Amino acid sequence: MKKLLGTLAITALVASAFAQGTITFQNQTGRVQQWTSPTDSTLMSVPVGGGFVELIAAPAGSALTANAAWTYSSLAGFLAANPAWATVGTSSINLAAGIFSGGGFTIANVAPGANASYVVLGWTGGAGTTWDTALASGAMLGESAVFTTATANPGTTPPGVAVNLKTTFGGITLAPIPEPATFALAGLGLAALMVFRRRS
Amino acid sequence: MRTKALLGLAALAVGLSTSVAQNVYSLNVVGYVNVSLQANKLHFLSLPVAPVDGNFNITNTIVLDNSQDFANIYAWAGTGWSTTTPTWIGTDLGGTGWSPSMVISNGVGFFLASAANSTLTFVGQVPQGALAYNIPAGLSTLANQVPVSANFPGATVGNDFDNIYTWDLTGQGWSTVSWTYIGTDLGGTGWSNGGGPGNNAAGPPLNPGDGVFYVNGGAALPFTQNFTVN
Repeated sequence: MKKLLGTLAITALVASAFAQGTITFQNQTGRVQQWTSPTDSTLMSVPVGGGFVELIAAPAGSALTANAAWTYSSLAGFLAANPAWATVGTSSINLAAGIFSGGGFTIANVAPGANASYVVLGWTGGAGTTWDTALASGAMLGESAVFTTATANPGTTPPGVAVNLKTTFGGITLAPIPEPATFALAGLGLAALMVFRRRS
Repeated sequence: MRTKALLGLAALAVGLSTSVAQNVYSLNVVGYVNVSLQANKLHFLSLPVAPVDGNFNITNTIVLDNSQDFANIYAWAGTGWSTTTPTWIGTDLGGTGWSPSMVISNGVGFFLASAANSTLTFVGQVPQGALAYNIPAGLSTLANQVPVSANFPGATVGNDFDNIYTWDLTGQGWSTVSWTYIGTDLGGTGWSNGGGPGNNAAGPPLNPGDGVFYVNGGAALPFTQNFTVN
């Protein structure tokens, strides 16, 4: 009886220690691509060491202000506007051009075994670059579409194996983001055009 | 798991090493074990032979080809599956094999997520002599260190109410039939799957390269397996 209780205690301990859904942050057919240069939109795979990706996730179906992360002054600001979403982990482009493997992560805000919605943010840059520093430096940025994945339940006995995102991730393209001053100039141009047309 | 070819005993090499001073002879048996891999399936495997050079890094022991690009290994890390996930990136993608690398010993199980139908060939030598095992308290993976088809780990290895789970390759989950240890102190004879097919007091039947998941509800279980190739 003591052994049985011991087994149950171990099982409960493990379950409580890993009581959130787990995934493996990796891509395969959906590659990480970027413009060849800020003025050349020809796509190329981000070279090894030439960029990063960051995974953000939420319970499946959570609303997201899509394709707008770079309009916020920081990643924290973007997440504050999307309270159901949270950062999960990052990876460099480390396996081959356009291919990354960040290892296993626990999605803190998704129940073990439940489905999760996720988005991958990406940016160009070398070691130590973050989304915020890339945003401030004018690096190429990207935000993937919203994908859905299952997660593993590490609290079962035996524990579930982390679900690999490589089967659901559809890829991401990094591109130059117009600076606010550019938007302002474009707006002025439009206004001038409208004034000109009205006078003529 | 289907294992097509077992040891090619003496097929690759047979070394006879001699200790003249003590006049003791030991037969070093080097061979290979083929394991069939199915595309996009999780296989629960183990090293059926030991690397001749003693290097247990997976870059040395688990060698795939370009057809297996993006295959993964999931190893047990004491209390959960390792968050380090080696991925096979072949030369066609500019890779050199497993990244990152990892050390996996024989006598333990691990998952291999195969990307294609192929044959995985383990090459190495058959461990012989008094082979040491230690099943820790709690959760672990376990496998036979030697390439034989046998019930494992044996009728005398287990704490009462310990459990063993085997992997169902077809169903892609742990078999719904688990094994429980009931020792002679409780009137049992060892391992039992509840009287289901293949029930054996020595434990589940394992083929070379198979692994199992072990739930040890008692103290750590060190044991010795004596194995010699005659």
